[in-house]
Amino acid sequence: MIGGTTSVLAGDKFQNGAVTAAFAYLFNEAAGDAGQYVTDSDCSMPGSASCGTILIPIFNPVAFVRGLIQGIPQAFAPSTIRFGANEAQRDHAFRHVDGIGLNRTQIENAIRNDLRPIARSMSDGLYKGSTSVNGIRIDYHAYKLSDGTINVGRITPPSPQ
Amino acid sequence: MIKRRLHEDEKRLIRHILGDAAKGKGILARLDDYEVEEMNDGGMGSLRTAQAEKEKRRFGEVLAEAELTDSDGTPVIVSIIADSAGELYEIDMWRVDFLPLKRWPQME
Repeated sequence: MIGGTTSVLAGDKFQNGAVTAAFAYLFNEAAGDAGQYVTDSDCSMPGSASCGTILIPIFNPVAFVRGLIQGIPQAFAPSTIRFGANEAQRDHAFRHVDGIGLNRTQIENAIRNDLRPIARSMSDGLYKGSTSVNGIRIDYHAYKLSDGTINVGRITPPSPQ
Repeated sequence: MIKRRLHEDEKRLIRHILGDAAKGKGILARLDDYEVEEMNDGGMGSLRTAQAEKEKRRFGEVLAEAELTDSDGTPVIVSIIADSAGELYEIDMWRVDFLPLKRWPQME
């Protein structure tokens, strides 16, 4: 993850993500259970070249299905929202709304919530959005890159009357 | 921060973006007078005017904006922002991938 704040959004390829997660879960989970493995080593023989180094996982369908189910949230989360790639850019993005009685977390969450439902359907390019925090309108610019990342640039309060 | 006058390519950019905007006429007439400071935006090139730095200034409105490109083709959103008194406040440069600006956008 690059510096700055990121957020996970609903994305695509549920099936691939879930299956990948299931395999990861399968092997990680099984690693702590000696009963799931056989070894090809024979440590009773001093100097054995294969002693204690290679573990061969045995496929466990129960663990696989459990991992598949637990992988569902990951599978829906490949996209990212960023408010700058470093702290200076984060400060820059929020500079106009600092000091209007709202904290950055409130504003950031509101923008994320505004973008989440539309993130998948957004076209690449500039998006001008508006949301409300404690009754105060907040305008923002977001830009969807070709890899699905959504960067949030300027955030501004309403113009004074 | 070092205060300086606007460079010629910066003035060209502001003229290009403000164009015929009614609210920008006074600003365009005084482009040679503004002093600016480079903002700490991670190298994207934003500028803030320093005229009234002693006063409490705040965002007023976006007078005009344009989507231009950096030398590598990456879009750069340029916004001319006025303060609450209607005076030139910022030239906001946002390279949309948050990488540092490679070259100030050139006006033909």
